[in-house]
Amino acid sequence: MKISMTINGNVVEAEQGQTVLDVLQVQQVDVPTLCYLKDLNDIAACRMCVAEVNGSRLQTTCTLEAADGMVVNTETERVNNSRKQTLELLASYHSFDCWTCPREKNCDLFDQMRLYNVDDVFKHSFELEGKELKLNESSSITLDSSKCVHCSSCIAVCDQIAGVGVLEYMERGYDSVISPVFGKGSLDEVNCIGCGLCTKVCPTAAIVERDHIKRVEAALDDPNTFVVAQIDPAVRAAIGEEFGYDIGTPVETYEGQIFGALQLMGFDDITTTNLAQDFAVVESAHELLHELAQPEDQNRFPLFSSCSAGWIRYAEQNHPEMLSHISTAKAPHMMQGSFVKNFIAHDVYGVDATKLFVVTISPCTAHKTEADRDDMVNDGLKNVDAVITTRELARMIQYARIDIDDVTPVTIESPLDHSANALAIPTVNGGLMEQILRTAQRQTGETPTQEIVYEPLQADSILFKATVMIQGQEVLVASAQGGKGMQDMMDYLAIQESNKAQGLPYEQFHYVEFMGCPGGCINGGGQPILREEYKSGLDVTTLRRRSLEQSIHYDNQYVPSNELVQFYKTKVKEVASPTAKRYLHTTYLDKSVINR
Amino acid sequence: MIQELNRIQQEVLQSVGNKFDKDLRHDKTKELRIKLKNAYIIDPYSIDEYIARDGYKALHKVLFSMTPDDVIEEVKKSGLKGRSGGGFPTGMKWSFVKKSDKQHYIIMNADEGESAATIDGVLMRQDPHCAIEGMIIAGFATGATIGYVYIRYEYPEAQRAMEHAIEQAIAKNLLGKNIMGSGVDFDIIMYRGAGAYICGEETSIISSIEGLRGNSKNKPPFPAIEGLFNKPTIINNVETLGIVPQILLNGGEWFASMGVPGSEGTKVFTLTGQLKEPKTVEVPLGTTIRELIELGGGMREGRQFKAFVTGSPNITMLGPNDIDMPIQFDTFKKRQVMVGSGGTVFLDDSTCLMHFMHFNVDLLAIESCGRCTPCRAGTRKMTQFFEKIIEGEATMDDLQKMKDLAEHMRDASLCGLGVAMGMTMYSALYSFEDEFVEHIRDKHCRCGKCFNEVAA
Ligand SMILES: Cc1cc2nc3c(=O)[nH]c(=O)nc-3n(C[C@H](O)[C@H](O)[C@H](O)COP(=O)(O)O)c2cc1C
Ligand code: SF4
Ligand code: SF4
Ligand code: FES
Repeated sequence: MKISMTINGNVVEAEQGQTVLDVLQVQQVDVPTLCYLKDLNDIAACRMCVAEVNGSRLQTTCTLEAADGMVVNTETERVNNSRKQTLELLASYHSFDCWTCPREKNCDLFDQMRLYNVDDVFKHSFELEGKELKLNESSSITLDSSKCVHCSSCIAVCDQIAGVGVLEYMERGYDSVISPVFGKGSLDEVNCIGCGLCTKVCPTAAIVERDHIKRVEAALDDPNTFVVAQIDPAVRAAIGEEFGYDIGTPVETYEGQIFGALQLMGFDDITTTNLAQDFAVVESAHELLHELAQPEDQNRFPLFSSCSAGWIRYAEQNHPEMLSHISTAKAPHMMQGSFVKNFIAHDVYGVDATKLFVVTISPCTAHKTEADRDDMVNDGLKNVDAVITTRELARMIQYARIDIDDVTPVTIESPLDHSANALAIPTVNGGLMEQILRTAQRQTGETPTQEIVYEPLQADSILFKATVMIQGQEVLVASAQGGKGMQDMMDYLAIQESNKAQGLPYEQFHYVEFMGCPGGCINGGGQPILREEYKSGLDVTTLRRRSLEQSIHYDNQYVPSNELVQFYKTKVKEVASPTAKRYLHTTYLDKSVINR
Repeated sequence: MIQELNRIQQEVLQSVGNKFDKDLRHDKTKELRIKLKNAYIIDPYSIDEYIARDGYKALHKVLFSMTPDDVIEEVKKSGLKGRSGGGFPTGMKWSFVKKSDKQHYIIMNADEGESAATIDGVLMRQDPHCAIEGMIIAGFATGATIGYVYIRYEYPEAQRAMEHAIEQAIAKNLLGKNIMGSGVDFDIIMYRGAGAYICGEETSIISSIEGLRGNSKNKPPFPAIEGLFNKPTIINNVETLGIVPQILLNGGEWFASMGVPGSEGTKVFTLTGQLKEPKTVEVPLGTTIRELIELGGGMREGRQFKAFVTGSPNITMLGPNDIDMPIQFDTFKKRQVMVGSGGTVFLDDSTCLMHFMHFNVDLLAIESCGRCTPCRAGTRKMTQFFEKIIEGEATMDDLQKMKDLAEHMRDASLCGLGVAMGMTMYSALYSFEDEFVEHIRDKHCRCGKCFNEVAA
């Protein structure tokens, strides 16, 4: 139903059921917000979005439902003063070290303080109080409550999208701090999956990825260390945004400069993770075919994918009983790290493996935890030494005082990056599953299915399923994204399992792909921050895909590269050989004790 | 069923002797005991004695001869306003509930967090059935079939009395399924808080019962539309619900005949502070501050009345010039002072207002839930300003900032706690601005309590 209201003197039409903020956004009236996230967080905590409505006390437009005849004023002196005072109060306990801050260029508090010309009266009145710096570091995420504006956005996404709800307020009033639940000292002690969603909704730098820049800088500074950067394609799709390019700008526009900057910073080799994906696909396809060949009562179906680090954490912490279903293939970047260090350091780089330092440049914050796992070590060498996010890469380039516009573009000439399958499709579509299925088909002499058609698992579900034929068998696959999706999927599978046990109709899934991030890696937790995604529902995933679309040549045949064939012949011997098992596969641990 | 109630009444009346004839009024001319009519007279653990004093007759009348709308109409007629402090008309609040087939709830707010108030505590300990009966009637009027009693952590004795009373009422079929054969169901669940002041605020109670952290929520939506578990919910104070049975038994007009127009009926006050005889009394609204002081035995020997403070820590105050002001919702509102929950503090001229304010403001800062910016940070800044004043370091600039901050908190805070801080400052400055200025500009404390060197 249409209603009519007056906004800053103009009569406008609106829809019944909209909030006043919705209407203001449609009318393009700028209103500052800090805590509001569409459909996720409407706790009206920050009080920045206030307006005068029908002459009452100030109202928060983010929660107020629009009504016929409403008179809203957003730009009066009273409103502006109130916003300014709110900002002054927030500023009175914020630790301002902007020049070292990871969010220096992308801070809502900073922008709004500038907009409202805040001169921080409270710090003039009192000795600088600054909240005690309460750093809370975990393997993926760092919390710094001295920068928190208490908007609860992180709590909301962690609970509702990541589905694990491991962030909470502790203490009361002024002493409130964001903390891991149960007052635990670190997110590693609770059920955090490291997806990094919280870092993407925080208006300030109170919750950020765990810093690995220092590790990388130390390696770069050491003349005896040979530093290899392996870049995930999803990073390439988004890094331009950090340097002022519009989201979706074709990668060619800026990619050469990024590679150039990496060279200038002193990386000894720059490569992609394409070879890694080839390895992962081939090993996983073999695993799938192996299980398909087993008698019905002896197979491990459904097989679960293993490429998402967030998913692995989730499974280990919540479903120890299902760990045997997870593909043992390591995540691609880990395989590549292991392979490079343990097999070809000498051949391709001419250095001793102990001198090799592998850096994954990743859209993923959970990769950081993965890289530091005890079991991601072979022959005493860590598979991957550091993981920096897309955002951290941008920061490193700035710290190195490199102006990206002045960099001469270069193309990568890594001895590792000659993979004929430089497709980058997996990270675009979501996961590796499609490639694994096609490779399995090809290995059995079939023509790979060109288009795999998905349908929702149930009406309105965020989960999808598809059927593919392999060797005359109907292979039922499914895909789940985001912590909440993973949870729903596991619940759904449990129902199938119990139906099966009771002799009721059930679906037998063969392969299920789990991704820790909604939208897949391209929208990973380490990607550039665009709070619009959660404030107004901007479709970041689709926009980012555009930047890769023109430059990527889709080849759904998925023929292994000559390199891969060669590497198997000379190094790994065979797919799933004992050597492959040792270096390219891993095991999983019951970490559910964290939950108890 | 009514015969049963009458029979119990007759039996008890014959056996108690003159127990019920006690007159406990402190001052026979001014006190008027309506809500406290049973307190300290009946045995709170005996439902029969409650029945003997006309207990549950109102419920019978409501269930068998009235519609929900009749009940709301009668309560509206009585002029009853919420006794928790806000003074919101109770009948009107009940009428906001849109009847639907959704579950509706009643919450009895027994959190009584104000440090100077022991009204709800006395009622629940001494006359638990009146609130229970009132709650069932409120449930009938608003279509709620489940009632929560949200009782404060520090009231184990009241909780025991209430729980016992609930059991007794269930045993007599005055509560539970098909009450007195009327077909109406009502169940009561006791819920004990964890001792936070903010959990007396209605949306915080809802969060708390839902199992969440006791944080306030933004209004609208109001609980009557979307409350507990997102279902329509009415929240009333113990004293408010406790008087409902008598209003329905004796009629709205009977209640409205007490007090003054606009502030009908009586109000229970706990008189505390620098009085000779602090106590709990019940007086008709319209009683003046001077009359309350008299009921409290006067100010201490040789001391002058300085301030009448309602609430604590959520305070507003009136000064010496207001001593003849009648306690009424409208007169108080004009001065932006709350009638409050009934907890009152009388200050005499030996109390330094800056110290008193610091104490209360600091309590508010501690008890703020921390959700919204103006209150979370504002209460803390305000405490610090008072510290500065007491230490002699504040400037007139600071006073201006305190005023601005108070205004901001009142205008933009999420819930009543932050808003109250704004009102606190307003009322303190209204009556005592000179004392602020003396402290800040002249570094003079008329009570000799501030600026360490004086105290030392
Ligand atoms: C900070 C704060 C604390 C409150 N504490 C109490 C309390 O302890 N007891 C109470 O009955 N009402 C308290 N209230 C008022 C309630 O929010 C609510 O308005 C009241 O229970 C409504 O009852 P009434 O309509 O019967 O007055 C408090 C309000 C605020 C803002
Ligand atoms: S850490 Fe960030 S997102 Fe979380 S409450 Fe604080 S400011 Fe908000
Ligand atoms: S006013 Fe205070 S108590 Fe109320 S919501 Fe805000 S922070 Fe919480
Ligand atoms: S209160 Fe509306 S955006 Fe924070």
